[in-house]
Amino acid sequence: MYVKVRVDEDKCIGCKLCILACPDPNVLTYTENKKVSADENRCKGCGLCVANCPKDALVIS
Amino acid sequence: MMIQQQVVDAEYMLLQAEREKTFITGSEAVAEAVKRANVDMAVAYPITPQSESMHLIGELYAKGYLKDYYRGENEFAVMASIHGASLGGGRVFTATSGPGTLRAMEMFPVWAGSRQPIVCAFMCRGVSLPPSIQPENIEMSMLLDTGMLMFHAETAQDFFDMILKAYVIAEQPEVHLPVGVFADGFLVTHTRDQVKLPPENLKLPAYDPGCAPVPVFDMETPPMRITRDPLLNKSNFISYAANASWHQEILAAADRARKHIDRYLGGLLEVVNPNAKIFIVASGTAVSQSREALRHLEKEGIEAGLIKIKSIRPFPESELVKATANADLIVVPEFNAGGWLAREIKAVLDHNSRVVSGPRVFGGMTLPPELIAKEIKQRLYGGVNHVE
Amino acid sequence: MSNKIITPVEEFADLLPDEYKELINKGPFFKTKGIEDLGTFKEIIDEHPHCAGCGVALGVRLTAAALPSPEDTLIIGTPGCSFFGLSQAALNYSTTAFGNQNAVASGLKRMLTIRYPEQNKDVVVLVGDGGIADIGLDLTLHSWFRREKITTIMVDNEVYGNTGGQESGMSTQGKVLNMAPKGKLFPKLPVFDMAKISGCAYAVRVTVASPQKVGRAVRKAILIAREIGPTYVQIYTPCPTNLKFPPNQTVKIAKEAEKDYYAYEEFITAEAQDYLDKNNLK
Repeated sequence: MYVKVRVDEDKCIGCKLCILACPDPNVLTYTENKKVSADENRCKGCGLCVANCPKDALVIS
Repeated sequence: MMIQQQVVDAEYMLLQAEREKTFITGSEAVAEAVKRANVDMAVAYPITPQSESMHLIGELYAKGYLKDYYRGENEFAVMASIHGASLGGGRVFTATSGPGTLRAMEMFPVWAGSRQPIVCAFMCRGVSLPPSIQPENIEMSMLLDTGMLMFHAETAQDFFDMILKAYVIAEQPEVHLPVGVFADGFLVTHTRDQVKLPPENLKLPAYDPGCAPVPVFDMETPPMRITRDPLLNKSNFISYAANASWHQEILAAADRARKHIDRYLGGLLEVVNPNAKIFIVASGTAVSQSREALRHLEKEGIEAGLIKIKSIRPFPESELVKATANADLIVVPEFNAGGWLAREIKAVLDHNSRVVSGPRVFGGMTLPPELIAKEIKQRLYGGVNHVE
Repeated sequence: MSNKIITPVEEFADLLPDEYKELINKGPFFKTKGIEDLGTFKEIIDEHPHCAGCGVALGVRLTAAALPSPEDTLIIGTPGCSFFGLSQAALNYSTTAFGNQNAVASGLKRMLTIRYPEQNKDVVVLVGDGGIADIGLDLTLHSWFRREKITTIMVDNEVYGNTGGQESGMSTQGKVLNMAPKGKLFPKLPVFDMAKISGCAYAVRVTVASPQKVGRAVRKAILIAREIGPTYVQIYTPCPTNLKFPPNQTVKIAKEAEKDYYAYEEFITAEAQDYLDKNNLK
């Protein structure tokens, strides 16, 4: 089992703090509808995005 | 002021052009070589006895013969900077001696592993401790397996020619290895000798980085070049395989250099009196002393031959085997305590009990021809106590 | 570099991997992209084996995104942790012998200036604290004394991470680490202060808790190095693995340091500021 990040689009406000906290490139992207999207395959599950999200819109599971 | 120079091909400059006799020091011969070599950049650091050469190259830069030149902060830094400059795709030159060589040591396998056609002059001297600035070439033994090519100059004439020819040989696409051009310090650098020079208004063609077997590092040449560790961090297995195959390629490139050394240096070795049964085999200044020893022996009715080894890496194994096929006695005089040349020779010859490792002098002692002749006479007439 | 060099011809375009095509079409080459655009373009660093939560990885990623001209940037690194991400970067990158990065960068910059006198070739050193402050300190300082036009960026995790967590010159006094069983006996090396008096035209101390500041510092440092002189950026990039904290705390640890000994500071000479103002650069 791998731990991966998932975005709750309803809670996401598009502040991009998670994108600026992720040590791995091209994992979290900013979509046209001003929300963050996650590429599960690239995520290492460190949880920095979760820790930096002001709206609890991210979860690692 | 810099004079206008005309680009000519290496064949013409080195093998055909008419030469003028001059009477110059070995240090001046180095500068004369670099003047005609169309070098882009040189980096210098003081250490006896190579400083004078690098002063003169600084003056060449001031006149416009080189596009950049500076004094670095230590030999490790200088050799690293030369590595960086060569990565950028230009022709570079530097020099060092003895303790400086040892300080820079890590960079020599880096140069070879990066397949860089760098030419570095080594003006050999004693290494510490105790300190000695005088001639001795023990440092050469420490460079034998760095992957660099190694040429040993006997005279200032050799020093001049070998530096220029080193660029031509190194820059062959199938070679692309750094070359160390060695001369025994003071004996060659600080004495005046007759040196025949091609005209100073000739220069070699500029280095073409498109000839390199690895892409030049300038963000203009795909694929993007990455060196060293990246393979290490993907997988140790991949890095072992890459390192091993890369090193085999370096050894193969040195072998591929042989035909170019034959063409430009006239062979990896030279033989005087090929039919002799007794040979002195030497490199560098020991060859000059050996020539005198031959004359001594001749006066006493002893006929001996001389083999001058010009290329230490690649080593002239087959040529040496052939030249000594009928020899009964092979004497190897050297300017170092370790006897590295004798070891190299013993490793390639059958019946190597024929090989006598000596006489050896070190720390800056002179190597009298009488001492070399005595070594031979002792072996012929027997007995350690037999002294003339 | 011209666009032609990396753009595949139509006939072969579909043979190339998707990653490559994305890099050409949605990457930062020949466009002006910065930290503020992260998430909207294909980054030039790709998957790397840095630890989960690695501060150095974040520092390297932010630096790569902040390069003003990635198509004409060459990075010199050295062994350590920093090269994990850099060796997966879509630009010329060279790891050389440990500690010699600033000497190599000096030679490279000078040769590129000889060969491409009309173009900006940004030579950037991106290396950890061990490589710059300990084994490479001599060569780093001398490249500054000589006023080489290169940018030096330290990703400071205050430890030799890659070799298993040994004390480094940049570790704080008292910190217990491998090879310092009784705690480090002397203070953190003042490399940032040394930069100010050694000839740097611009020097910044910053942490990964302030990504926008990191981006601005890297960008300005590279622009100033083009014309004025050496520049230095010291980024605090804490290491969860060796400093032993949970990987999701990296940014928090950096933020705490910002309130203490890693406060933001920017040093700029009048000449460098003048250059930025005259050319409308930020």
